[in-house]
Amino acid sequence: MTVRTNVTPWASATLVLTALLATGCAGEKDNNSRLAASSSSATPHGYVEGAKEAAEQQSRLLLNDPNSGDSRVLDLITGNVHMTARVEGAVRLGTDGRFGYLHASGGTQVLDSGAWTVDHGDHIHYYSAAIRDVGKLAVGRQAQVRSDVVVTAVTDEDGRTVLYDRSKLEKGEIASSRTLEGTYTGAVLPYEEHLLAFADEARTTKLVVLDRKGKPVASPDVECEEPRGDAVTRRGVVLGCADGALLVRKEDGAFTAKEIPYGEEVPAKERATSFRQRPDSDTLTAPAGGDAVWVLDVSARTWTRVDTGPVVAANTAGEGSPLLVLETDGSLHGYDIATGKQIARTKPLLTAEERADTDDSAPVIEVDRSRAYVNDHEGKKVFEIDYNDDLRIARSFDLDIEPVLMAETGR
Amino acid sequence: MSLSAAKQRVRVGVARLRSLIVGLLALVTAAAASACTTGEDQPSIVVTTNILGDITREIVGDEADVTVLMKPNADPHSFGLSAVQAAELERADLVVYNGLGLEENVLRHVDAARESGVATFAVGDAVDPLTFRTADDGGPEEEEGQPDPHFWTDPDRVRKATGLIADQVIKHVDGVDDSAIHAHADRYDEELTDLTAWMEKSFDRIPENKRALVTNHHVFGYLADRFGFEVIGAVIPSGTTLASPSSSDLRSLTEAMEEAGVRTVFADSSQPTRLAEVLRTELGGQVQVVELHSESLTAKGEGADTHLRMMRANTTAMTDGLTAGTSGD
Repeated sequence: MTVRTNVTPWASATLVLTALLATGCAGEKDNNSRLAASSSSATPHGYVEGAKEAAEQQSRLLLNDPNSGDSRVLDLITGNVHMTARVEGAVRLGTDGRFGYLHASGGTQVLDSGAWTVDHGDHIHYYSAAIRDVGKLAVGRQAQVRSDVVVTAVTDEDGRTVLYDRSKLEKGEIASSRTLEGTYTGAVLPYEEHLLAFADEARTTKLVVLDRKGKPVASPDVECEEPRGDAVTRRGVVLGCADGALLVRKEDGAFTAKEIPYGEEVPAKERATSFRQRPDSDTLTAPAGGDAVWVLDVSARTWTRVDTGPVVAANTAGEGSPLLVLETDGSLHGYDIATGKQIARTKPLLTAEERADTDDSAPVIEVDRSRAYVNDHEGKKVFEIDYNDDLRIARSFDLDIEPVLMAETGR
Repeated sequence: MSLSAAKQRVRVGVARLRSLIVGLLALVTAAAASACTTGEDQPSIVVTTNILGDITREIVGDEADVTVLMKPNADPHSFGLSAVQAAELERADLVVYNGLGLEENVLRHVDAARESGVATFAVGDAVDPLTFRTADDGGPEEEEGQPDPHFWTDPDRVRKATGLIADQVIKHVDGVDDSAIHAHADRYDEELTDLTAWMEKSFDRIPENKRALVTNHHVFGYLADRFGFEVIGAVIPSGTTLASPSSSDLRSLTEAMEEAGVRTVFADSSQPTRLAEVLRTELGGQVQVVELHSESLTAKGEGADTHLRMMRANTTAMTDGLTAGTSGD
């Protein structure tokens, strides 16, 4: 014992000294072999510490029951279910593709689903890692969270926005990096190394573009009456306004905004207020009042209103796939977007009767490149739908909680 | 043994260890110091990808330091540099890179090095590159008609590259022994000639009508061109799809296989066994899913730690994959 306690400091001192000498040398001199040996600090892009890279998308579902507070992560590759943080009273579950944000009155709980995708344009990296309860953001339950790969912007109910360093979240730490000056209406969206926000001005709301430090930069001069709903697509960010949508994108270094009007009088009750899409898809969906769904084709810049049954939830994968509508009859219906004709429907999936009321705790349809998922909370089930095969139920998962809130990650 | 005796002995041991450590420290310090001073004089070559790094090391031997920026098992399209590496690049005597758009995140550093007067050599540009085939013809959709950077799958082009890299080293890196560089390059050239002959002989075992690579890789265009293969691109179904696939999920693959008349898919899949199983159910008969090395060498001892070993491993995998069960078909 004596030997150990005496020698260890010496040995580590030696190591430290050696290391110091080595790094000192590599930092100053042209010694390449040494540099190559110590290049672990320069990790290749595909490598992420603590994560496994996979050949395909690592899809997972985040699930929560607000009544019991139980949360689960369902691994869609293995079918395994993992327990995670207990969060009671959540009213909403949002995701940025990796993290889940459970909004409750006591704050927003951040869960790392441990599955994500990094898109490099011509090729994509897929990762899986441990599931982790990251911690709580002290904000009201109506707070909005939006994220890109660098910044997570959290806008509280009063419009105050705090930016968080996403790389810290990835390490399991919640560390605010900056509080934006002033207040904004609705979500603040990180996009193209900037932030998009709406500022209240007299009787209207104006789009503002901020840099990542919160400093306003040149912004297209556009107004948006009653902004509600936003979505990021490959062709830009879509922001919902009373009379249509704004498509905001960066072209040759400058932000531009194009209006996509409904082209007809749309009562406030029937306008799009929240968009659902396959992540990255250019085809957005939004309920259009009680029994119709808006389909916004962002590349063609056209709105199509598809008449359906009473809508609980809607979504689509786009690119020729059917519009998926969960209706109050409990069945998932498939509609051809071009003709508006119903082309398929499932057996009833929902155990509980749902109203045509797409509030935040209603069942949802999550869509990825190959499958759609529907949560039947009272039946404690999640259904996997093959939307390109007549809405075939590919798998169903039995759970030990009521999955009232659901979000897919790994995308 | 009494307690005090034991303590005594321990103390002696400690004293010995201490002097040993002090001695070691002195040695290490001296070694490090000398390494630092000699480091200034040693000419340096920086290479971007690990495949080109291996080839360059074969040519350079001990004549100069060769630093390879891309780690084993990494992705040449997306690896980035540290600030130290970027600075290193600008102090090199020669920078060897693939070019043709391969090392997207490194190119600006290479450009910066060139602007600051460093000699740079884009190997891909110099070896008569092919262009990607059209998307309809199995090429990558967004790169149709662009030059294909993956020249290393053709050993003849690597031979050509060997001669060119040797010339560049001799021209730009002061202090190397020209005759040693020539000797290394000639020896490596011979190994590549042997490789080509061995690959031809191996592929001869595959019947003409089976020389098709059904794959999600875009890197085998040069190999196909050199050895008379057809590359048929296909989408590999994702993990969730494989749990309960429909015919439409597998259509891209099954159509490609039927077109090619082969029962082997060359693809990376996290569930190769499951993929083979569902294809077997869909098509009937035997189906194989085989992984190939594509854009990166592996770590040492993992089967493709040099360009020569990577080529041999792929050749064996392709030949075995395309000859298995041919007699039964």
